[in-house]
Amino acid sequence: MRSRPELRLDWCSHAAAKYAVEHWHYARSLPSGATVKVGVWEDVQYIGCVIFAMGATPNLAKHHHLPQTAICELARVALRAHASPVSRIVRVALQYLRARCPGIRLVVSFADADQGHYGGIYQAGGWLYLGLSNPGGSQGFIVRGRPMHRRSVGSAGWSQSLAWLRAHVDPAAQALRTAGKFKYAMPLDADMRARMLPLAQPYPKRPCATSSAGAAPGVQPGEGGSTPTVALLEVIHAP
Amino acid sequence: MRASLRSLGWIAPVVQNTRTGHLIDGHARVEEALSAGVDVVPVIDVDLSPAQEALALATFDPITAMAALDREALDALLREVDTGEAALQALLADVAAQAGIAPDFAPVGIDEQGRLDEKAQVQCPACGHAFTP
Repeated sequence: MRSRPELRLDWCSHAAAKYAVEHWHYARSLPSGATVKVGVWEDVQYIGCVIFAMGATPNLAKHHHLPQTAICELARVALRAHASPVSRIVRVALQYLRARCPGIRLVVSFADADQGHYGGIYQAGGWLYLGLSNPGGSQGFIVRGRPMHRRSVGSAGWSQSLAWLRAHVDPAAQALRTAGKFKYAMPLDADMRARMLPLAQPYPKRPCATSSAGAAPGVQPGEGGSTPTVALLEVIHAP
Repeated sequence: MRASLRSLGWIAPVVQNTRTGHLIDGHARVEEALSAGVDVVPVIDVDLSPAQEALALATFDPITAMAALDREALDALLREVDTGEAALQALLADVAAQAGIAPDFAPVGIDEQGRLDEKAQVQCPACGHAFTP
């Protein structure tokens, strides 16, 4: 029986990160703005990357009463088939983030319920679960039978209004509702952890049947514990 | 290809997906047959879903030759391929590397990473004053 390949993480280039996201992540695009890109190799094979970014909205920082420079988002985990546990990969990637951005105090991430994800890798890594974000909210529209995000509708030069779309583009257009996103957070210092702990909720359960379409989804359903693993937190917080 | 067909004939049939009507293997041979006015070629029919077809196209040996002709098409195909098999993904990565689609995956320096814990300075284009917004 072959032993598990040697896992190695290191900084990766924009081009390597772009390739991983475009080929191995359901979002198919890099997050905008400044990013920290941590590449992942097994033996000598590049298997993808972990990308941290500014939050998609400044509200993310406001919501936690933090300056924008103290919070960031784990925006992509873009991996092809691999042998190493994703929770371990993310844990090491967090150490790289701390090395590059020592001012970051809180990392948040979202597991997309519409993709069949529930955050198993965050549960295995001891992240705090903060609840389901925006369930039943408007995500976009179904235009000409194709689901489109609000921003894509705007980019097409159309109004982000169902009435407008029905009048000008597709009489059968429908609103697209989202199942929401499971929000997780990883405090990176003791004070922040003490602030966040009261907000933590019990972990959501793995869905009975995942609807993930890809065999190598960006954020992969994984094994999850029912309580945060303090030991892992201690490793992350170790100097 | 022409010389091969003329001297050896059809050593192997072409492969067609009956569900989509697409050729899986034998594109060059069919083109050659058409240009030579050949009406009938040996065919093996298979029944594959579009996802299976993408995987079959990407993993058949002749795709490497096709890659030289159309990298863009190969790259689009590789993005569609849906497999959780590590060995197949490694094979596809090799195909992408050979076709020159994949970038250099070597690690880079920390300086190539952005800073998320500080705001970049901006400079007034008129007076040159630099400040952090």
